[in-house]
Amino acid sequence: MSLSSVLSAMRQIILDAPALSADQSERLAAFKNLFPELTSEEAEDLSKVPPAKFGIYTTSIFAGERNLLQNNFPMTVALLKEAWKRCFGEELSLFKFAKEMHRVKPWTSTASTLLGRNFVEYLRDYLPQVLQDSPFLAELAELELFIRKVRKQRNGAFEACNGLAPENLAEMTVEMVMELEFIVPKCALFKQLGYDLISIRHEFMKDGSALPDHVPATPTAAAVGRNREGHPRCIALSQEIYSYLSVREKEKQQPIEELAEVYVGSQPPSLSEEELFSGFIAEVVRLAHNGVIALLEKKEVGQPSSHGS
Amino acid sequence: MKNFNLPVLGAGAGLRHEHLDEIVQKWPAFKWFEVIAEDWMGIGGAIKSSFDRIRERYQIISHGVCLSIGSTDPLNIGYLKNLRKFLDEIKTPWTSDHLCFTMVDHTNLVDLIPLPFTSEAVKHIVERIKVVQNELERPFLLENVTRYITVSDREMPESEFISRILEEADCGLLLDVTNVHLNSKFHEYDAFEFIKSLPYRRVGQIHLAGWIPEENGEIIDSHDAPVPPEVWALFERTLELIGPTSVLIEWDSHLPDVERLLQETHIANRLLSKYSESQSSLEAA
Repeated sequence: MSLSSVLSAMRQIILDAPALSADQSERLAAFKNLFPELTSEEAEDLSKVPPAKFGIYTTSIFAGERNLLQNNFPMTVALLKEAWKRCFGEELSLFKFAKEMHRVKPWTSTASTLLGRNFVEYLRDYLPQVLQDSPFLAELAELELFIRKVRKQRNGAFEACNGLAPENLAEMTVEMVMELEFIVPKCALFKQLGYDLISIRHEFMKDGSALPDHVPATPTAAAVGRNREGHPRCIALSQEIYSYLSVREKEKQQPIEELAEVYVGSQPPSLSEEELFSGFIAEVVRLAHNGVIALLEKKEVGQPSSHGS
Repeated sequence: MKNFNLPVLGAGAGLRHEHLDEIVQKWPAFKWFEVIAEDWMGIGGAIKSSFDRIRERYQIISHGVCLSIGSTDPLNIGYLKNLRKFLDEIKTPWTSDHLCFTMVDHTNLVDLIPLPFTSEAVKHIVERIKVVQNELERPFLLENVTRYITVSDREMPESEFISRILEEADCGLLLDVTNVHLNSKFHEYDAFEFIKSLPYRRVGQIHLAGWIPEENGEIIDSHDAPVPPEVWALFERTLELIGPTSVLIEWDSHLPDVERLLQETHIANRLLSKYSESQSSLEAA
């Protein structure tokens, strides 16, 4: 008797759901053929189970995966359904989709982020026809996976809610602002996108149904942060700000002057100092509101860091 | 030994992300909450903030779904270490998982799959429970699962399988009364006789749930409805047998509002009070 052989056979019967005869003796013959490592008694025991009863587990597992995809990738799934109809002339069964995805990319750990990663890779590597119709789909799935990760990511030593309220910047002089520091929070994620997915996702999330007729192939630098209430927020950055922020060490205090220099370098030279300053303040407020950075008072020499306060 | 020497907390409910806002606004009179450990381990952000506020007011008990105690894959020690950290953080007096397997051949089946009732499985699971108890350092309970199939009962029936594991591993039982009721229908046996045949002094906690039959009439343990009368009746007979025990209402999909969930715990608490009184008078006599 081998427990591992029995469990392994059950895995294959449940996940692969091979066509099984209604007749027990035929099932027994099939199991002996499919699972030669089983003893006669083990094969006989499994053959006693009516196939429909194994099917309850098959249904439950892939219905669960279908729901996870639907809940965590709402916009990707909505656009995938549209693309599927165009490519194959039929409605997408997300249940069958999940089953096929599991077959080629098994869920090999208990982490639900792995299911998300499998989804991204499956869209990218296994569905050429769909990807030709909607080449942005894998990237959109990756963005939604980022948003999910940021929503749940363990708190860092310094969260956006512990920082200076960005509204306070409006009352500060140039000198006071330049004395500030900032960090990139632990949970923030950055990604270069080949498509303008940020604005179409904002529209979609307003009512959960607004699908674009066309997704422009506009390179977009995206950042996902967590606002002061702890909710994930996704914004587009200028390429200059992206290049600077995305390589900062997470949670390390940086002088805001550096960020100001990057900002100024990204603006047209015709702008006045006043315009540059107000534009910079607006950008810092936007970044801080969306949790891509958190603002801090400058660390005094010899004083302990305000991290974790 | 009574209740596996665990405290009797009254009736609680499963804490679900969807209810967080309503709970922190209304602070309803639940006696305790059970959390699915994997849904709350290592989280941050808004969910974590609400959870921390709830932990300040209510006792939280952990319940896992990913241990896969029956699997022949190696125990996931990294998972156990993270779980241990979480259990310490929420100060749960005990924790539990299911007597089943959820992973095998390093593939996640994402469901509670029943095991063959064999001596080999008993020995294998007992060894693994001892590792788990050692890592977690607190009372550990295993829950009897709903099973739509019998993998093998040629060596022993389910009740003996459960009993041997609990006794040999010195482990507690999370008795899911709904699962016993459903299994008794699926496999045609007497539900109460089944409960009586278990080492019921090891029952540290009870689960109750309801279900809505599928369109084809099939019954799945779906945790999406109030506890039905036949399960309340079996629960009452169980209390008569084992005395008051911490009980939890499970409701996982088609979630009601918090008030409706609270009403279910009130029913359970009334029954618990009834058997507390009768037990006190028995003990006084």
